[in-house]
Amino acid sequence: MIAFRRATKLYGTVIGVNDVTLSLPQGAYGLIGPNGSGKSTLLNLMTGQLRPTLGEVRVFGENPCNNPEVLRRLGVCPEQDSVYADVSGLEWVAYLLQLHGFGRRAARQRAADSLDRLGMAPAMRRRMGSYSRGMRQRTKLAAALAHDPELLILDEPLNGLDPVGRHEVTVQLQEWIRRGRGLVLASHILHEVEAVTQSFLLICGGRVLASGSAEEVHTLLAEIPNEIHIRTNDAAGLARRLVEEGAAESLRFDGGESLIVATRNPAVLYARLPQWLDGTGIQVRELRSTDESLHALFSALMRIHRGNA
Amino acid sequence: MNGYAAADPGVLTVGRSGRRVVGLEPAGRDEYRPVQWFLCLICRRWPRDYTEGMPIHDLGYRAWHGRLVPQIGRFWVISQAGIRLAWRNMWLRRTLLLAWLPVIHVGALMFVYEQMLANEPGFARSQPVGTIVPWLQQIPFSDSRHQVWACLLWFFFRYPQLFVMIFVVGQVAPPLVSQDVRTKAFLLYFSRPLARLEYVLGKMVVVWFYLSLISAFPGLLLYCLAVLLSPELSVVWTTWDLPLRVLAASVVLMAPTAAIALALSSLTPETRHATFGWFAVWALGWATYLILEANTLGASSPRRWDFVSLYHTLGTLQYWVFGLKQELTGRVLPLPGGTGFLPPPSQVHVWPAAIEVAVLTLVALAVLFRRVSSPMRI
Amino acid sequence: MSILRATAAVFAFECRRALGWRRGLLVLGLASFPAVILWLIRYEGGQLDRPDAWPLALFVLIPELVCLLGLLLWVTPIVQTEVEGKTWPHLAVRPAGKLPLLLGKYAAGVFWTVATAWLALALAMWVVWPLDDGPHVAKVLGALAVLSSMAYGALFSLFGIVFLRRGMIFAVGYTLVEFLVRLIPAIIRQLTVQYHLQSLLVAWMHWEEVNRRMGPLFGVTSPAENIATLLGYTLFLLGVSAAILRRRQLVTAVETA
Repeated sequence: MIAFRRATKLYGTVIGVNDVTLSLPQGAYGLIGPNGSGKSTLLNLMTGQLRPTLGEVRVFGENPCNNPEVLRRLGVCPEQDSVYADVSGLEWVAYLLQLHGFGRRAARQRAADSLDRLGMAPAMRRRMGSYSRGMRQRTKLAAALAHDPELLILDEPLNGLDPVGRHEVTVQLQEWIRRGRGLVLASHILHEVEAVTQSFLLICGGRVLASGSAEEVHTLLAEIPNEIHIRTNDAAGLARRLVEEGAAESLRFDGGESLIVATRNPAVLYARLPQWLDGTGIQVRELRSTDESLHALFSALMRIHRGNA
Repeated sequence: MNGYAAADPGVLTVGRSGRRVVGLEPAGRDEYRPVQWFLCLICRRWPRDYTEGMPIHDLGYRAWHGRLVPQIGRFWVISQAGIRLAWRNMWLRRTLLLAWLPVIHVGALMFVYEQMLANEPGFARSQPVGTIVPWLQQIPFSDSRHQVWACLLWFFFRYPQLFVMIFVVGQVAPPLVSQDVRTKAFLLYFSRPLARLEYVLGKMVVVWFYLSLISAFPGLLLYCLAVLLSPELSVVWTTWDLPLRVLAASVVLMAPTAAIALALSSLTPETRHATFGWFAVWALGWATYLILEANTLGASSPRRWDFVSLYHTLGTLQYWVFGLKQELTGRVLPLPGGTGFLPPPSQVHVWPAAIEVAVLTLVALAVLFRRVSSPMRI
Repeated sequence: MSILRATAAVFAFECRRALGWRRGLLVLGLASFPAVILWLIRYEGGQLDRPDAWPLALFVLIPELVCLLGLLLWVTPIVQTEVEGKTWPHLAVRPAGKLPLLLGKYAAGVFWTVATAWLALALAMWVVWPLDDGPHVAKVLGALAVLSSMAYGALFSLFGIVFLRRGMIFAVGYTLVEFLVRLIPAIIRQLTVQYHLQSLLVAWMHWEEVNRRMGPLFGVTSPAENIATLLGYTLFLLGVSAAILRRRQLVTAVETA
């Protein structure tokens, strides 16, 4: 379905995507990465909006740049939240369908159906300038789905949606996948993507670091120690105590008063820490756990790729 | 285990709900920070015996104890940002470079004139000079240095720099306010302790900065060049007022143009509309003036049409600023005004021009202030 | 077939979108400007208040000034509006491609400019009426407005595509340069759009005598040649614009690395 062969995209001296080789058969994929990791660049390469500086990109076996046959089979929902403020949602989606080659009447009918499926029927004749963010997002999705493409490429499609909206869109996407269509869904939020697809591509710093199923990602997460930041009056003493109890995978000092503890069992550490410190005179002034497991995941993957782990 | 802390209260506590509580500093009730007081009031809960934790991290607002910049200097922050942003425009930098080329031309004219004044009559009648600047032979040499320098400086302001000004301001000014409106940076500005005046002044200084780069600075440089190319330093005594006139002419150029450009920028969130408006003001004014003046050519007492064109109105004002006489102007320089379709700037009627420019500036400022405060009006 | 249909869709959409009081106000403002000037001339009397001088004044005001201002506003930013408004990604991923987008928006811009010019002509004719051979003058200037809009429109759209954010500045700069170049009595002026428009004016108004008196100001090429050149310019410049747009990678990033 999609193939990258040593594809690199440079913006001047800035690397957008770095030597990516991928082959994605028909299916649904979540593209996960932090902000600035190259997700949008990768998607723009897939849709032909960017040409790779090196290497090549193939979608449905062809170069997607300026290729109407490929573009006809794609549905794209970009991340940008901008639409024409002075035009109704129906008119806008119908216009985009006309650019697909549909006649005016057919375009309007399809547009209305697509908007209706996404819960936009009551508002589709209103000016888009009066839409909320969630409504704009649904309209964009409707525009991507209206021409019944074979492959859907969505960049942060759940941005701006309330929980009900997220659920509805997730259900739509699940239905989409059940029909055997292709999907590439980019996001920086793991659980959102997890609700839709079980296959992931993890991207960071312009490189695809890992790929696999949800279980494999969670296993990876589980294998990566959590880091806990502790500020105390006696960092050395605390470190000694933790080592004695065997509670830490690794320890490092951060300034004179802080200790960063990496542990695979943070729950145990939280529960037992007061007990361990009882009577030692060690005071804990601040205890902070980074809850960004995705950040930890990517940090760990980067370390592996750099050969530091 | 109920999760209560042991020996040292308030250090690490676990709330009654069993939640982990982190980051509490030891505090008595009277040592709570305002944020905590407020939240306690809202929740109507107070920790008892310092052991009932509140899930609040004490990372509240911390007052700045250093020295703040005085209010009067805050506009400069906006100006600096605007100047730096505009400087990134490669085409603006090229335009500025181009804007300095007339300095070479006018400087050369000053040099030739000074050489002629330095008792080298043969120089004026020499082949190269006679071919290139034949009109210089008509200048009376006695004590017209002040007038000729003033005339050359006026020429510099009136023709090349006024043209370049349109392009420089057309690149710098339109996005200054319109982009703030479009990107909603407006709201960020006015959520700070910033007055409208400071905001407007900050934006104006951006335009003034770039205008001074093409008017005041090169004008003063030309004066210095002229002094350096003179036979002796005593010329400064007879021409000491010219630098002041240069500054005054720069003010005449900068004040209304910046106000109008920013007013246009504030009227629309689309930069291109502001750019169009800016160019349309000059194009329509110029075209109107040309056609109406052509219509009155040859009339015995023609009506003046300077007022329909801002370009010509500013020219009239600058003419007065440099204290020029019409006869000398017509003789010293082969002005388009002296020899052809365009009539020469007249000894006129500076007051109507000054009033017109003042009114335009005030109206533009009023529009600008009104538009700047409109997002904050309910 | 689908390119034509897509172009028509873009044209219709852009025209519908532009309908509103703002556009109406702009059109009215631009269109009434020549009429106001001519009324002032009429009121003052003077050199131009002669029947043979009106067509020249009308030519300067309408096919030159009004058309150029209209194109500056409605054609130059055809791509800039989409890129700055971040709606470009939605349009560029459609199979019709960028060519219908360019042609449709160009056509819409030229349509509005010609409509404004014709309205300006109607208002101006009403001010200067009665005019010798008025209907013929109106036809000549109407046709010149169309040719001027098409040729300059293609040129300005090229500026807008090449210099995305500075297209308007370059368009104004080019206009000023062309204003000077057309006065040079050499081959170079035949490369300007102005030369061909003025040449057509002289030929269609039968101003051979005027031409002899004004000397180098007006050209002497045949009307067919002028029209062919202008249409050739239009097609060539649009072709170049389309080729550049096809190659350009216009990506509006929400965030940067």
